[in-house]
Amino acid sequence: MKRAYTVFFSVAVAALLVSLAGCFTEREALGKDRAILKGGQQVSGDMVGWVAVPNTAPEMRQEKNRNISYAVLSTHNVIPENLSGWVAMNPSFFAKMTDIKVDTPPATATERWVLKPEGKSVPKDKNGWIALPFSEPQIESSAHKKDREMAALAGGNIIPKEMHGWVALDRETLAKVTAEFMNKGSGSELPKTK
Amino acid sequence: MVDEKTVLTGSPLNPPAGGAGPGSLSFGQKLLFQVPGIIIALLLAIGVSYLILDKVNSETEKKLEAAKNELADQNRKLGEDLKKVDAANKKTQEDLAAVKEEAARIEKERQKLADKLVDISKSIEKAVMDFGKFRETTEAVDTTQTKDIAATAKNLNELDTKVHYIEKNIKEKLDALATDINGLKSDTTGIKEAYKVLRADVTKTQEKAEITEKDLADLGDRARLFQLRVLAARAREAAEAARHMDLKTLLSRLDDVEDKK
Repeated sequence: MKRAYTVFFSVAVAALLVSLAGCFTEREALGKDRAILKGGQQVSGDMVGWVAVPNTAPEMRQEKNRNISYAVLSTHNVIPENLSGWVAMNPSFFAKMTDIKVDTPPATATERWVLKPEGKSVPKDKNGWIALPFSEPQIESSAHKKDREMAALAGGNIIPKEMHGWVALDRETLAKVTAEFMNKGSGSELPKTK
Repeated sequence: MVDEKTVLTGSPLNPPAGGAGPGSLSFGQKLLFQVPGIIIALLLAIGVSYLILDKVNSETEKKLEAAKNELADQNRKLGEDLKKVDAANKKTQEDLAAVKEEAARIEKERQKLADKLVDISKSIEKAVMDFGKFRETTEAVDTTQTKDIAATAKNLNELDTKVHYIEKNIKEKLDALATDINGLKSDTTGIKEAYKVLRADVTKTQEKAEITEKDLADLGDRARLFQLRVLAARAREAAEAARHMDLKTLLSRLDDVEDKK
């Protein structure tokens, strides 16, 4: 009889936990620290301080003539894992190096939403947004030319407004573009003979 | 002398034909009694006339004498004037002669002056011709000198331009490249050796008295080849930096591509 009580109690606790878990935010099945929000869910304690943005990723484009693939970043894009390790640069710098002029994507109207405090309900308009610990790329600027900026991307980075319209390349493509630019760049010329 | 009136009135000796009586005097008697008076009157009249005539004559003579004297004076004066005029005329004649002589002298002088003027004119004409020749000669000399100076200046300018060209376009570029070489992290021993040789040759060429186009072309070609080596090394390093996501190094290498402004 005592054993029967124990089993019943365990089952009841398990059912309670399951039902409570359904009320809190749902994690992705990838095992990463990110979650897709559902309107009305409550913010769990371990997600307090996370940042939620619309679930968008950079747009991939290809320059067929040059055989270059690149990604165009927009504000609040979340860098997916397959773009981790890519390098982004501002569009004017990219155009200078590659002679490719990139159209800037439409500006994002939404603002980031910080998940806090614990137990706060997710607003309905944030349904489908992605929440993750806040991280953004670190921008490096040239010492001599301030308009030359680059940033290394990592999976889970949220693109800030300052990087809206930036272009990202994988490292090998960047190495190739860099080598071409440095061998043919405007400052690489010596005077012609008279 | 017979008076006509007397004849008409008759004389006592000859009475009129009708005859008068004894109580009245006849015309002849009357006339007889009147004769002395008439004679006296005639004499008086003659005397008065004589006196008047004499007086008039005297005055006339006086006037005549005065006129004569005046005429004499005038003649005298006229003579004197004529003398003066004659003297003046003589003097004028003398003066005229003198003037003529002076005119002749002046004419001679004028002629002399005219001759001199002609001589002077000829001299001036010669001087003008000589000056023209001198000017032409001077201009020719000036032109030659100007050409020489221009040629010298051009040569100097060309040399200066070439030296400046080397200094500005090759030497400075090489110096900038030297900075870049020092910034390279890879093994740059070969590049540095090449830089030293090229730099020495550039300086040597720059110090030459005459720099030829070939010198410049050679230096330019060698500098370009050297630049290509440096560029290739820099590009390799930049590409490596990109592969390793060393963004600071990558940006630094990219800055080398264009002038640091």
